[in-house]
Formats: sequence, C-alpha cells, structure tokens
Amino acid sequence: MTAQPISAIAVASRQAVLLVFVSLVFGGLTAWLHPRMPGYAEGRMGAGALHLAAIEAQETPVLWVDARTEAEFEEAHIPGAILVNEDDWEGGLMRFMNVWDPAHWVVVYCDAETCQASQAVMQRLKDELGIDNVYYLEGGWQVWKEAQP
Amino acid sequence: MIMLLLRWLAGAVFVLSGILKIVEPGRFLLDLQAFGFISYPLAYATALFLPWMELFCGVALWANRLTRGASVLLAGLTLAFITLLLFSEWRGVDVECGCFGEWFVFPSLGAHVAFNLGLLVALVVIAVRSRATK
Repeated sequence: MTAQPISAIAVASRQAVLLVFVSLVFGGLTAWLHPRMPGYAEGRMGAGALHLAAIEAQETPVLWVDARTEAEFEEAHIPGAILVNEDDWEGGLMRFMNVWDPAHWVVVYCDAETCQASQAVMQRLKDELGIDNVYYLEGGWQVWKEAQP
Repeated sequence: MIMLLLRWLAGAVFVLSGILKIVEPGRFLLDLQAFGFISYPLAYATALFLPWMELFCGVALWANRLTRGASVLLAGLTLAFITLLLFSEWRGVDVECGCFGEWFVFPSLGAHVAFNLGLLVALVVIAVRSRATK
C-alpha cells in the first residue's frame, strides 16, 4: 500500500539530484569559460563605485552617463551627461559612441543609493565595449543634486 | 492534452528565463545582490548554477524526461522566489527580478506574484500527475 508514494519520492529525488549535478557542472564551466561572467572580485555590488568627492578631486575628464528614464533625464540631469539606459540600449550606445573618448572616465549614475540601473549599464558598457575605466556614482543623482550650491 | 500544455508552458518559462540569465550572468548577479540579504558568495554561486538548472529542468519538462524531479526542483525554486519577492516588498527594497532580462517586466508586484503562483500550481500538478518511471 505504501510502496508507490515512497517509490515516487525516490524517483523524484534521483532525478532532481541528476539535474542538480549536471547544472553544477555547467555552472562551473560558466565560471571558467563564459566571457561575460565577472570575476569573483569584480562582480561584487559596489565594485566600481566612486564617491562624488573622489570624482571631483581627480583631473581626468569625466563623461557622465545618465541611466535613469528618459522622462527623468529630460526633467534634469548633470550638465553634459548623455542618456544611456536599458529602455533604449541601442540608441544610448549610439549617443555614447559619438562622444566617448578613451582618455575620459565614464561615470554612470541613476537615481539614488537603492537603484541598480547605473551598475547594470556600467557592466554592459564594460562587457559590450570592452571599456575598463567605467564607474558608477555612489548615491547617484540625489547625491550630486545635494552637493550643488 | 492538458498535461502536455502545462509541461510546454512551464518548460517555456524556465527555458527562456534560463537562457536570458546564461547570456548575461553579470546582470543576474547584480539582480541577486540587489535583494540585499543574499551573501555575495551565495549570490555568485547562484548566478552560475541556477540559470542552468532552469534551462535543464525546462528542457526536461518539454521532453517529458526526468519530469518529476524537474517539476519538484522548479516548484521549490518558484516557492522560494515568491517568498523572496514578498520579503523584499515587506522590507521596502525595490528590486528587479531579472527573470526575463529586458524582454519583459511585470507591471506590478501583484501580477508578478500571481504569475508565479499560477506557475507553482502548474508545477505541482505536473509533479503529482507525471509517471514515476519517466
């Protein structure tokens, strides 16, 4: 009477273990071979973050990239910033390529501390264009706005 | 016929979700960290392993092979994800799930949870009704 449920659980467990094992193998291969998988130290949220004070203290020219929505960008943005967000990635990339200079730092910002868009855009610029000196502004637009006289 | 439809629909969700994460693992890693309470080593390991599990389990549902194991794993995953979504909402953390990359974003938390609850029910039905020999 009880043989069927036990058998069903045993079958499910065996199959699940097999699927997990195969996934672990491919996950390991991803870590090793995937060109877009960040290294362990590079993928940590916060890696690539810059404080506003650090940006203002250095002399390298900065290209500001606004990763917020188009409506927020139109309302106000850091002077000279270009709009590059994931809503219109191709259009943003065209704008970026028109003004990008390898000698500049690229600093991406989104709205505030809690948004992820700046880090996502930073990562994509690194991955898709192979640019190293891309960072994101810690605290984003809110921090920049508060720092203005 | 209904079982076939359920397997194909549930399989499609996870195959698509898995492929999009496999293509952009860095993005998925950021999404995981944005939840705020997953440790970095766990997030990194999950970003490597979980997309493949979604893909293989989705393909297993399509092929009707290892069906019971795949549906049990995916049901557990979906349940954990619903909990994670609700917990994040309760903590006031604004997160993107990263489920379907840029292709599709749920209009509201309610729609997101409802979709996942539907998926969970489908997976439970598949797990219960699938033959143990497959």
